[in-house]
Amino acid sequence: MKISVNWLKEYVDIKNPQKTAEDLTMSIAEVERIEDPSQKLKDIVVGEIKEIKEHPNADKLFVAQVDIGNKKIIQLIFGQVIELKVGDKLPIAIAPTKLPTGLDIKKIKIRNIESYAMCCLNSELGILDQKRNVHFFDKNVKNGTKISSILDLDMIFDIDNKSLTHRPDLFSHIGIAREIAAKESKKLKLPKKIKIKSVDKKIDVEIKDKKLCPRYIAVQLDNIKITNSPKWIQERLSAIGIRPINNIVDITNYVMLEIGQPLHAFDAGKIKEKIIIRAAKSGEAIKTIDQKDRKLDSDMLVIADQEKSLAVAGVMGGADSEVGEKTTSIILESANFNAYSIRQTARKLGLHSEASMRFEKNLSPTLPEDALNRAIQLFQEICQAKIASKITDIYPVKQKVIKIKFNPQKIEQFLGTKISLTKAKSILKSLDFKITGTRILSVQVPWFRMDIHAEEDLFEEIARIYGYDNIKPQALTQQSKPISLLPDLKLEKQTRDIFKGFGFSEMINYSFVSERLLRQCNLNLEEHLKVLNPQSKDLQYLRVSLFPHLINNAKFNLKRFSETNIFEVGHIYHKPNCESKSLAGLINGRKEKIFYDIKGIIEAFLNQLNIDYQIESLEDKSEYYAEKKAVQIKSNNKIIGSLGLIDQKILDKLNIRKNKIAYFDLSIEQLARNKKSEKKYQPIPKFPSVILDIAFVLDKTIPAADLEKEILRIGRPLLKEIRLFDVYTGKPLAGNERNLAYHLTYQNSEKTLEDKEVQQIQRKVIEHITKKFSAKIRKF
Amino acid sequence: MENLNQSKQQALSEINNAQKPADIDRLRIKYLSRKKGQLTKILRDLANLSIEQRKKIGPQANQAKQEISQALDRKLDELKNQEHVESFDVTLPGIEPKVGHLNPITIVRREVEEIFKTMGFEVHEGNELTNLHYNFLSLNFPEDHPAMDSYDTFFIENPKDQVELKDKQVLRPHTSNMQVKIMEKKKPPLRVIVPGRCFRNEATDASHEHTFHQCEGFIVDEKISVANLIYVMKELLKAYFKKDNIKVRLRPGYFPFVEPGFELDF
Repeated sequence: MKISVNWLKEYVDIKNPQKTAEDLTMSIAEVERIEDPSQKLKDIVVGEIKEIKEHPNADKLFVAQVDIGNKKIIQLIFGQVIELKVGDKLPIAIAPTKLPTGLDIKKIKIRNIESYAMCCLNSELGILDQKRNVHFFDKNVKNGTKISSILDLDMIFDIDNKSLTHRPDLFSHIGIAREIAAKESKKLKLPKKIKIKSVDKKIDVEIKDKKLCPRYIAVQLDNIKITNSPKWIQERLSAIGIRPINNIVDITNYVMLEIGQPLHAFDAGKIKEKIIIRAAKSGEAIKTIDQKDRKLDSDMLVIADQEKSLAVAGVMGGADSEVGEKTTSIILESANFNAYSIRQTARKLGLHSEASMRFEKNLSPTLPEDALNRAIQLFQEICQAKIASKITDIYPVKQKVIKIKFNPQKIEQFLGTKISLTKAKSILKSLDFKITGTRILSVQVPWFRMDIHAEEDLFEEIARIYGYDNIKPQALTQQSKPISLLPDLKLEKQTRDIFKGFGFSEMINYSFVSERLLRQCNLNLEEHLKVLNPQSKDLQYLRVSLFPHLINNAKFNLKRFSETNIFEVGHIYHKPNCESKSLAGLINGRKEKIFYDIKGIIEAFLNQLNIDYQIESLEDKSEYYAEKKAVQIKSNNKIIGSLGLIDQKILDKLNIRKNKIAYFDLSIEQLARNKKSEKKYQPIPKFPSVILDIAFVLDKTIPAADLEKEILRIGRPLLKEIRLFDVYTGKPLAGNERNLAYHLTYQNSEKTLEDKEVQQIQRKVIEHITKKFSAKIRKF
Repeated sequence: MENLNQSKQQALSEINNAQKPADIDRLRIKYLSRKKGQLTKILRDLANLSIEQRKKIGPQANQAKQEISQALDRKLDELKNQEHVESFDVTLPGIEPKVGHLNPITIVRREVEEIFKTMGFEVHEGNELTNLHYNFLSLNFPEDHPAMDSYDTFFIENPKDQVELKDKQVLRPHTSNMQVKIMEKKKPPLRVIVPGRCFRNEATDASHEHTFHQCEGFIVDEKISVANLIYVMKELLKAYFKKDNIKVRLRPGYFPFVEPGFELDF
């Protein structure tokens, strides 16, 4: 929102606009930018033409000697755009400089005559009356005076609207001036209210929905003649970027910008009988004053007469009832509308006007009265308008006066700094709060402060005017307890560190997934929660697994690098409305043996976390794992995750060429639950172990895990460990055969093992295995 | 006797001239091999000599054999050493292990968490899927607050057709959805931070993202004041940016769930 400093000066004294802007930022809302035209006019001074001669070598040019003060005469060349005579005083730009419009002024030589400066047109300066070519100064202005110091140029504060969301009263010059007066301890000067003599003629107004329109005031003004508004109003409006239109529209805009209440003027001649404030009928349409046809729906409020809608309430007027050249009589509306309804309407129509911007902040229903009074005053003064009706004011539920109990003793406790009662009271008073009582005070909230409801709000008012920067930071004195991370967060942290150590890079992907990617990953759309209002089609579904984005990351990476080891820890979401945390990752490689890499990584990971686990074949058919090339991981008989090779069809769909992908995922909650906090340590065995190697040749289809289980079962308790060291298929073995070779470690913790004992167990193992699996022993 | 000396001298000189370890192997065979070695032969021939002569030459021959053997070992060590030293290039690059990386967001988040932990704050992450009750209504947002509009917040479809406003599911647009939840569960005094992922329905550009990470904190205690809050914020910035003189500016800011609300610039 743009605020004119000159305009503010009508209500409060401003000596140093920079300082005032800083005060606003520190106590009310951020002034994002100060527009200061004088900054760009530094090298422009008042010069007096002392002599004019025709340019000896150019027909249409003149050479002038100009007095620029301090007894300095400067030579310049000018053309025929402006007629100048000796004695004229006008803005002179002394080279080298740059005009606000961007024009560079340099010393130049035109046909052998030098020019050291330039006479400035208003259009070149970008200020002053743009309808006139040049601005002549009064004879008594001293030559050499900087024009910025005598032109009373306006400065504009550009204020961040967002920080004023809760302060509808600040969307006006008086609102801002009031804050400045409070902050800088100055007096606020408000325009005088006039007494209005109305005429005994009724305007028929009916509010159908009093919730959406708490107040409606209308008055008819006659003797209207449409012209331009006076210069001062035009200047005020232009300065803050509002285009002057005509006297009627300009006055309504002026009042809105002065006190914050949007007004609307209808051509009285175009209204049939009565004014009705009602919901739009479905299918109803209106052409708004921007000449666009708007389709309305039954959630929108309109101002209508007996026949048709005249305006979209609080948003924009209709073209049919608009004030035009032939208007002689107007109905002036000053009303209050429901903020939520206005916001919805403005959004649905994509129509954000100065009016809707204010109404949607929740204006006070008391405000329309003051605004109407001020507008009538201006219409009378400027247009000699005559009041032609009663002031019709429909205001069924009056705004409540809010009084807050206020204990000044609490200020210190709340803010952590001492502010004297006198200071606190004077701050509140400067903001128009009324205070009564002695120890526990009663504070009456001014009607325009729709944001104040509780004692804490009052503390805030005091603190912000006092200045937050004046509050000295205070260390926390209360004892605090030792902090340990929650189990799942602790586990997440460990997980990230372990995978980083394994050479994996961490991804953080979006929670949203596109339908396309889900389909590529062969995932069921039905299982995914859907965003009702996605920003785009790519952000429509919530991930049920980290898989889609990770495989997509892999695709991206493999176009650029030969290797990708990535993992992610993140939230996944399930129907109907639950959420869990997942760990997943993948590696790539040319051959399917990467399955064993990922399996080894996950086993090492689970061992580091001290989690007991079992690995088994997948129970259910999986969407994205290759058939029979994936396993599930269990802990305490619950599935905690899975790992395996990704289905070739998915890799083909994603255009991942020449690479296999091995993927895993695990539930963070399950990992945290099954992590054993105790780790058992053992002394190094006193007695030596005996390691014997053994190799079985058996049918390929027998899982190694089954064989190992049996070996251990028979060999225990002296057989402590069994470790696979070779897998072989091929000649001289038969086609269906496979060789599995193991190191078997025997040990007795009580004594040194004897050869005989070991041989005996080993024989037992061999005997059992050869029988059970029809295996042969392979000779080395 | 002469033969012995001659052989020994020749052997030692050849050893001395050896260029590479393979030469040593060759010389060892030439002089000491069990079958054909020159010294071995001399020693073997001792059997043909008289006992006296044997007594005289025997020890000398043994000693010669030992000398040659030692010379071979010495030279071999020397050559091997030389070979190693010459071919060992310390300037070749080292072999890097596979190194992983944490995401920068994780790194920042850890730093922030660490700072708050030293000030006694517990870390809660909370859920990203939440309802309007925890997300807005319990935080003093009026039912018609703009944030409640689908223009700012992502709403999630609900299997049931009719849902009460407070039960509508959304993706949290701020981590404040955890404030009430944590306060319901835990008794004061409380010091909590909630770092985590948030979502807002904003068009993405250089300074806007629909998904971003936030960290908020709160203290529930008796005698806790705005001055304490300012202290915590300043300490956070000091510790994070590792500077003692951080100039901060506090100015009012509006958030429906706090009084007073302010923003911190620096």
